[in-house]
Formats: sequence, C-alpha cells, structure tokens
Amino acid sequence: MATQSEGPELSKELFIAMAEQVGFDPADSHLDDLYPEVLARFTMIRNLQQVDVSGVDPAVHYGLTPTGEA
Amino acid sequence: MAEHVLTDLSIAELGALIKAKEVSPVEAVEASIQRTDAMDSKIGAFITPTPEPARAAAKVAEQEIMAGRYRGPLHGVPFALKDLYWTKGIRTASGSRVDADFVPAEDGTVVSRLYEAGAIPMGKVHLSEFAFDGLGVNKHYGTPRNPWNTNHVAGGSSSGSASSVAAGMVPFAMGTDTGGSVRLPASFCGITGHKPSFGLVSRHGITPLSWSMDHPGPLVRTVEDAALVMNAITGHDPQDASSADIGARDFTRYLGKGAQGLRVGVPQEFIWDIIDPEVKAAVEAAIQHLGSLGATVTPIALPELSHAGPIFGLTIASEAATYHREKILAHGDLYDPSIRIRIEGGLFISAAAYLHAQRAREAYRRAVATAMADVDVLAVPTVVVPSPAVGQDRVTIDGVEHPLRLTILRASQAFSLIGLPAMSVPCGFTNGGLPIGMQLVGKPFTDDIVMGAANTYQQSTDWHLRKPPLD
Repeated sequence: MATQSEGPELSKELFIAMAEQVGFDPADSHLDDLYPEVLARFTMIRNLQQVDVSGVDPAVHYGLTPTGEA
Repeated sequence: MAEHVLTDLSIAELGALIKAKEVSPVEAVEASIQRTDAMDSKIGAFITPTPEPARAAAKVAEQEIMAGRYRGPLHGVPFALKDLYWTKGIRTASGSRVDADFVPAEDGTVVSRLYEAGAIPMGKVHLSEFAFDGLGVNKHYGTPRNPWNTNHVAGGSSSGSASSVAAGMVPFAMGTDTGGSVRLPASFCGITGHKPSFGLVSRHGITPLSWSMDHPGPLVRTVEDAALVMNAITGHDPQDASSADIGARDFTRYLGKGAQGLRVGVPQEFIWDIIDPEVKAAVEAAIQHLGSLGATVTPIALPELSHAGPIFGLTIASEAATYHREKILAHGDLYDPSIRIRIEGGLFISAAAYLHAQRAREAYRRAVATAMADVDVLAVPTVVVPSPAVGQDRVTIDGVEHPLRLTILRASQAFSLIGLPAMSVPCGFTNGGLPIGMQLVGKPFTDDIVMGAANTYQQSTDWHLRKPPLD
C-alpha cells in the first residue's frame, strides 16, 4: 500500500478505495477529475519529506506572542 | 465640495474634513453612492450594495458629530466589506452558491469595531469562492475587473475590495489574506494593502478558508489610512482562539520616523528566480530609493523560501477540506469545479502528512527569524507579475511558461504562512499601464514599523496618487 511519504505513486484503484472511505461515491465520475489533484498533493507531500524537521515540534498552536515565538 | 473630489480623498483627508464639519457624512456617503452607480457597471465590485442603510447611518453620524460626539478619524467614512465578513441581517454568501442564502445572526468582531468607530458600510463586495483563488475569478457571481485595464483581473481573493477602492467607490475596504489575498489585489490595482500579524485582528465572524493562516486586513489608498483602520480593528478578542493580547497600540506612531536607521533586508533567493522583468526593475528601483532615503539595504540569504509553497499548499488544503467536508460531500455540484477539486484534494491528506507540514512550517519560521535577526523589514515584490488578462491561466517569463495561480503567490504566501506583518505599496507601472507593488515584511507584531517604512517610501513617491483611467 502506498503511503503519503514514500513508495509508489498512488494507483487509481487505491485512490478509489480511499475516496470511498472519505465519503465519496466510488462510482461517481467526478473522481476521474479529482484523481490528478490528489496525485499532485501526494507529490507535494513526498517533496516536503525532504525538509529536515529533526528536533522540531509541529506548529499546531498557531498563535504568536509578541516575541515571535509560535 | 464636488462629489468626484470627495471620492478621491483618503480616509485621513476625508476624516479631517468631517471632523471640521466642512463635509457631512451624508455628503460623503452620497458621493460614494454616485461614484458606485457610475462605475460599478464597468468594474463589478459590489455583490450587495446597501445604499439606504448607508444613508440612514450617515444621517446618524452627522447628528452625532454636530452634537459634539465625534468618534474618531473613521467617523462618517464610507467603506466596503468583502462578502465573507458576517453582517447581521445582510446576506454573506462568501462568493459561493452553497452559502448563497446565509444571513448571519450577528456581526463579526471587525465589523462591530468599524461600526463602533463610526465608519459607514456601503455594502458587500465580491471575492473568489470561499476566498480560494488568487486571481479573483468567481464563476457564480462574476469576476471584478481591474480599474487600470478592465480586460485584466483585479486579483484575489479580495477582488471587490481592491477594485472598489481603486475605482474611487470607497476610501477603504476590508479584505482577508491567507496566501496574499489583501496584498496581491492591492498590488494589481495600484493601492495599498496591509496583512497584519497573525492574531492582531480577530477572525471571529469571518468565513474561514484556513484557520491558521487567515488574516483580516484593510485595502486603502495610503499607508496612513491602513494605520487608522488598524487602530480601529485591533485588540484582543476572546471569541478568536488565536487572538493575541498585546495591549493598545497606535499604528500611526512611526509614520513620520523616516528611513534613517531603518535596516532593510533583501532575500536573494527564490522570489527573484521567476519574475517579470518590468516588475523586477520597478521593485529594485523602489528598494534602491529606500536606500537613498537613508535606509541600510542589505542582501540576505534565505534559501528556505522555497519550502514555503508546499507547506502552504498542504496546510491550506487540509484546513479548507476540514471546514468544507460535510458541505462539499453533500453539495459538491454547487461549487465551482476548480475550487471544488482544490478543496476535495485536502480530504486525502493524512494527519501525519499535515503534522509533518506543521513541523516544516516551524522549521521555516525559525529560518526566517534567523535571517531577519539583523534587519527590521524585508523588501521584495508583492507579486512577481502584473495583473493578468481575464481568462489567462499561464504566464511566460524569460521564455518559460508557468502556471499562473501558483506563480502569483510565490512572494506572498511565504509570509502569511508564518503570520508576519506584510504591506504592499504601489511602486511603479508597466509600460502597458498596469500597477506594480513592493512588499515590506516585518517581524511579528511590528506592524507599526512596517507601516513607518512603507509610509516613508510612499511619502517620497507619487505612485499612490495616480488614478485609473476610468472617467
């Protein structure tokens, strides 16, 4: 199974299965239009894995303080 | 005073006349209505004009001022609201069909604060559907045109906000900026736009696009006007979980400071790699001009700018998809197909991928903070291309074709991603007569310093005084 961080490109079959889990009708022809967008997102995710984040916590509490710390 | 002259005035100029009782709010509002009636068939800025409530509010403002109850520099001054600001009893469609019948039960915080300051709403203006398009295209309600050339877009997503100000319909309008949606249309339309520090202006009562990156901000004619609007709309709001509490601040305090001692950093990478030659020349000249005024201009290294795009892309897609999930799965056919796909793509991003992006975002924030350690502001283009033609979706630079929607965000999303204050000021025109903007970016909560720098530049140039050829 493809992960979002590495591995083979997302197959159409796996995409359809994921789409059904998300809540789409797997027979909806709209998914043909959506598939390239999701592939692009997966490529973006893979590219971002190249950024070194070792020792960095996620910025999930997104309010800044006057000193600029997140 | 002749109405066409009234509609040319800045907030500061009009406000001073109102304070001196030389101009009534009733006159200011009538001038705005007449200008809008004359111009909006060409521009298409307003989705819901509200002339009669504006006239009634102007009458009240006039009575208050005549009775000695002057509220401040926005009292009696007309303005417009991007149609995602919640307005009690007035439809707030957010540029969408799916929310076409949404009538808020309350005003948002910014709207309430502007009302308290005595400003007079002239109505709601267009935007991209749910603010999710930098070109300002709206397939449901129409795409506002650029007053400098109506074959070109105003830019987005605050398209109606920028075009209404540039066309003289209102002295100021409120927009929101997630990846550039205040600065970008301000640049395209030859006006001034300020994206505040994240947390400085409440997001309460504004339809969200991306909770962690949405910034309400003003589109105006001058830096001074931006400071006056900021004075009215800032302040801690417990209804916004990300609202900062930094105490009272007068954003006009550095407007007269000048450039002496100002340290300007110019990042050398990424933003300048793909840029229209005329934009590049104009912004370089503007930065040089800041130097000639006394600022110290220093090239700085910031290669991490290239990380901003993917971090921004994953963050906005995830957050927008989370907000829209139920609506878009049930009523996807009501969305513009291109916006629908951008939102739906976010439903496939895992929590792990989103959190990795937030780790990269924090690493990026630290890199920018380090790069800015010895400067007060960064100076870069606001947008690397001038306003494109309506319908254009590719741009060719130095013989290479690029996707327009990604290209126009290269210089702006890098700073909204980490909440830095950023301002766009007009700094030139292309040979074809389209405006160009310079962006000044500050450290967190130094909006007043950014405004001081921007005002110093603006007061020594006349780009902001030029009027589009509409009349």
